[in-house]
Amino acid sequence: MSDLQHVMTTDERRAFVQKAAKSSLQKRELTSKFFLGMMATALLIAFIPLFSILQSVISKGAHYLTWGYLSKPQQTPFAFDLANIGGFSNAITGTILVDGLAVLIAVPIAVLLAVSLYESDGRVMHFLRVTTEVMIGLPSILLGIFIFTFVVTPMGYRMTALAGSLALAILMVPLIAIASEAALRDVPDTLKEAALALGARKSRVMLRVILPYALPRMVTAVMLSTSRAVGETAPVLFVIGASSLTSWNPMSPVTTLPTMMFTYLQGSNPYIIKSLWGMALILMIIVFFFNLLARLVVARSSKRGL
Amino acid sequence: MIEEITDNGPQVTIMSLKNVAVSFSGKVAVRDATFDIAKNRVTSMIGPSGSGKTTLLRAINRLHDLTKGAKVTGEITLDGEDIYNGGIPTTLLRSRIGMVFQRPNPFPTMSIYDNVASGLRFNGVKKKSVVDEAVEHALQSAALWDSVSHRLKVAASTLSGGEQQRLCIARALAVEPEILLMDEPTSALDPVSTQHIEDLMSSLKEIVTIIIVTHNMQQAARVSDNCAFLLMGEDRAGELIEFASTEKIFTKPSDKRTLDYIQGRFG
Repeated sequence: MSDLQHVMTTDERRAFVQKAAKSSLQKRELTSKFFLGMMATALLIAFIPLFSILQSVISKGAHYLTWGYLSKPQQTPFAFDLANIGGFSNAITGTILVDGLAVLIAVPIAVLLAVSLYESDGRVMHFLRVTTEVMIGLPSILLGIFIFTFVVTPMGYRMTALAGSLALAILMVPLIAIASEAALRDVPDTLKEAALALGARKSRVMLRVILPYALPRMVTAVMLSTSRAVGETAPVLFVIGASSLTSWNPMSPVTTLPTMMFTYLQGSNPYIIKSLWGMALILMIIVFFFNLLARLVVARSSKRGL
Repeated sequence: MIEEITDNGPQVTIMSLKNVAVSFSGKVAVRDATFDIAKNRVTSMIGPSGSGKTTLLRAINRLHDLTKGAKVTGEITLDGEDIYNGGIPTTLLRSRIGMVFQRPNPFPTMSIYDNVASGLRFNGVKKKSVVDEAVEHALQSAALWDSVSHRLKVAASTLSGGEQQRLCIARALAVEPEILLMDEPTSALDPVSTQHIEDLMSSLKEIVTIIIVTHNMQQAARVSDNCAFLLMGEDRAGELIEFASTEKIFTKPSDKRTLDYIQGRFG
C-alpha cells in the first residue's frame, strides 16, 4: 500500500464524492419525478381500456345474469319472436366441459414435459424445447384445422366436445410447460442438494421438494393458459359442432361461449347481438372463478406442506 | 495484540445512538440501545442469535426503510445530525455509511472494476480519472489490488469467496464512507480469508470508522476497540446489556450476563 501515489487524499476524495452525490441528487430527484410521472401515465393508459371494458361489460351484461338466461339453452334461430332469444345454458356447460377437459388433458402432459425439460439437457431435449417455444407462437386456428383433419375427419366428421378439448390442450401445453420449467429452474439448488444428501431418489426430490416449491408459479401458469383457452374461438370453432343442446357428454357436439358469440355475431337479430355482453360477462365470471379456485388450492396445499 | 486493544486513546464521537428501538409490525426486535461510536475506531456488537445485533446495524443506514411494517424509534445522530428526522436524504446518508454484508454479494453482471466503481457512478461521479484512481485506491485498501489489477474487466463471480468479500469491502470503500458497517463479514469465509479481513480492519481504521456485528467473540476481541453486548430479553426482544471498551468487556465486565456470555456459559 505504501508505494501507492495518491493524487487525492482520503479526505479530499470523500469531499469530492459527497459534493458529486449532493449535486447529482438534485438532478436525480428531478429525473425521478419525471419517471414517476411517466409511470403514473403508463399505469393510467394501461388501466383506462381495462376499466372501461370491465365497466361496459358489467353495465351492459349484468341484466342477463338471470335464472332464465342461465338455465335455458339458446333459442333456435328460426323463432318467430325475435326478442325471445332463449338463454346461454348450452354454451355455459359447453365452456366448462370443453375447458375443464382441456385442463385435465393439458396439465399432466405439460408438467411431465416441464420436468423432462428441467431434468435433461441433451440434443433431443434442446430440439424439444425449441419446438415447444415455437408452438406458443402458432396461430390458434391451425390447431382447429389440425384437430379437424386428424380427429374429427377419421371419426366420420363427428364433432365432439372432446375434439375441442384436444385442440385447446395443444394450445395450453407449451404455455404451461415453458412457464413451469422456468419455475422449476428457480428452485434453489441447495434444496435439491439437501434432499439428495439425505439419500432421496431423484423422483422423491422432484415430488417432495422441487415441485412443491415451484407449485405456486406453476399454478399461475395453468391459470393464465386456461384463461387464454377459455377465450379462444378459432381452435374449437370447426370441431365442437356449435350445438344448441345442453350436454355434459364429451362425445356429443356442444358449443362454448366464445363460439356462440362468434356465431351470434354473424346474424342480424339486434336482441341476440346485445346479448353478447351477457355472455362476455359470464365468461369473465367463469375465468374469475377458475383463478379463485386455483389460488385456494395453492393456499391450502402450501399450508399442508403438500 | 492486547496493547492495541488497551490503547484506545482519546476518542471523538462520530455517531450516537439514543434509546434506539426497532420493531416489525409492532413486535419489538431490539430496544434501549444507547451508546456512542468513536471515530476511527472499530466498534463491535456481540451477542447470541436473536439479540438484535444485525437489526440494530441495519437501522444505522436506514435499511429498515425497505421493510414494510418496520419502525425505528429513538435517535441516531451522525456528526450531531439526526439521520432519521434531520433532513439528510437517505441516499446521501447511505453514501456516507457503507455496508458489507454477511455473504459476499458482488453484482454478478458487473466486472471487478465496475463493481468497485458502481457506488461512485450511482452518486454521479463521472470523471474517468477520478473513478480510476478511486477504484485503484479502494482495491489497494481492501488488499485486493495486487491479485486483480491485471484482470479488472473480468466478471466478479470468477473470484473466490474471500476475494469476493474483499471486493465488496472495496466497493463500499470507493465512495469514501465515514462509517463502514460490517454484518458478520467473515462468517461465510475460511480462516485464511477471515484473517485477511481482520488484518484489513486494523489498517482501515485510519480512513473509516467501523461497526462490526460478529458471532465470534474472539474476533470481536481481536479487532474492536469498543464493544456492545446485546442479549435477547424475556419478551424475545434484544436489548443492550453493556457497552464499554473491548478490553473492559472481555476482562472485567460490569454485568454478570456479559461475563457469562464471554465465558461461554450460554449463547
